[in-house]
Amino acid sequence: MGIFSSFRISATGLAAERLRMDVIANNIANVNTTRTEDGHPYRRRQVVFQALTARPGSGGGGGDRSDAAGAGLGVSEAPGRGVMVAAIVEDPSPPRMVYDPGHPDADARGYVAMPNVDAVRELVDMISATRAYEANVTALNAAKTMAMRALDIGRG
Amino acid sequence: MKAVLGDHTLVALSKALDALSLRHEVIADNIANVNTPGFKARRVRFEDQLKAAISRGDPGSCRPVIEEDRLAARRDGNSVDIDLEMARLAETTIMYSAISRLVSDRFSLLKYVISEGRR
Repeated sequence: MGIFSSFRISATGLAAERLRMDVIANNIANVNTTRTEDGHPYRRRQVVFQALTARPGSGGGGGDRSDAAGAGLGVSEAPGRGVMVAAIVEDPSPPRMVYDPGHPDADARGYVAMPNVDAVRELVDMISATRAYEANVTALNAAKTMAMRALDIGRG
Repeated sequence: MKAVLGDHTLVALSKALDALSLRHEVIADNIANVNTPGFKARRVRFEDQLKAAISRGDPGSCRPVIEEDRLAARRDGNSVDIDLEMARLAETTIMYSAISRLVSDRFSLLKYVISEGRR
């Protein structure tokens, strides 16, 4: 436990939410993209968050949360280390079929496979990412205030 | 005679500052994981432990406890309540400021005595 560990924890949250925002922006930008390098229309991507835990052996009980849960006490000694983006995965749901015979990518029946991106859902996710980012900023500012208070001890 | 700089008040106050700093760290971790599926929010308890340690006459033996909040409030198994975390964050910051001021005042008192009441 160091004076800057809270800063680092909040920074992992900021980085993860920012990456999530990048992925959402990419989804919105590609809401009408019918061509990709793989041949199929663009697929919605989403981030998978994973909790970072204390390194094993860095003091306290086992670093793994699942171990702590298995102990049945619900008590684990070392605080967590923030969050990380474990993966960016593609949404496997089928593409949206739109009837548009004039489209160059239309199939024999005149249907175009459009990306499985739902713009409304992306906007909702975007608000969620923004709010989570703001919450991390608030936590970071609180850490700063506390560190400055600690520096003021013994002055004046 | 008790040591001037290692008296119980200062040890208890510094233990409280350490525990509040740990609590802040855990809250920051909870907030960072607000969107992590299956994450369980954690709490730091130290008030009762500190009280017991002070009444034992050894405030330095206070050990804060980290507990998991096992109630899953959401469908993704995450138990972080962001409003609760923000409220606790504000509370922790204010408590930290208050206790660090008490430590400062304690040192001012010692300084006053050392300078024989002169400023």
